[in-house]
Amino acid sequence: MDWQNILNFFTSLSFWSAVKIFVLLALFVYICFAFIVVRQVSIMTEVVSSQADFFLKTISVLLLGLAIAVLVAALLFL
Amino acid sequence: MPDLYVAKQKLSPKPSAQTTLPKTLLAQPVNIRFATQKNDEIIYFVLRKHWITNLGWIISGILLFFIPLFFIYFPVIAILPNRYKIIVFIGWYLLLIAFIFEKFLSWFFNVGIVTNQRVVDIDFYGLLYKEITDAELDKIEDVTDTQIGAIRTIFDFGNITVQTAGKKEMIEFIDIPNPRKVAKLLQELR
Repeated sequence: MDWQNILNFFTSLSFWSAVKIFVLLALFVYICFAFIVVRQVSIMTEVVSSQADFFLKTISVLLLGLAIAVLVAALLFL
Repeated sequence: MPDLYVAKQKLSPKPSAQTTLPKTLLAQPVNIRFATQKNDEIIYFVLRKHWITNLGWIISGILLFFIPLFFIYFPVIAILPNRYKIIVFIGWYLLLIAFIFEKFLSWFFNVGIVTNQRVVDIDFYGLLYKEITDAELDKIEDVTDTQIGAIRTIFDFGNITVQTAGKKEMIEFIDIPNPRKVAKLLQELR
């Protein structure tokens, strides 16, 4: 795909298609962030472990799961 | 022949019964361990920032929770099709959950730990940076407590600076409850 094709692709996009791409990109960035949070909680609980470890790890994984579910829903319904 | 002189093994004293541990400190926690803890190391107390320091983000979180109720008054959001309105709504709460969770993690895991052997300061800055500083109790030269401002005086929290011998940097515990009592305990322990 050369530059002309890429330019044609973007100029042929409708306004709502562009919004959809923006939303999907934002959700993808959020998934990356949620993944980092899962790793961060894992590292934090290794450094200081307490009774709350399981609870905090569960929340971080649920947050990642929720972000993936929202991205999938956005792909299907937007 | 004189007996060979053997120095008594120096044992770090436990906090004395007279100096009662403040209730706001997590005193002698059973279920907490830290990464570099030795087998014979006993945690005397864990220091966290005073709960009142969380009030800012808790109030912000509550206010931000109710913001979507006013979305209909924003012209930009009002013209969106319903499915995009739902995405904006969900996106808002995803960001809010992330904000609250990050703030809580930052408070929960930034701790100071005092054991029978040393003082450990564990700091996490943001998502990707951590710093663990420790100093042995017998290397502590000076313990300073500072309490500045009306809020800190009313709720009795402040900073403690532990100056150690040698080139090691000093250890600082920020906004911890009952700084005077903690400073006194550290002075007893060294």
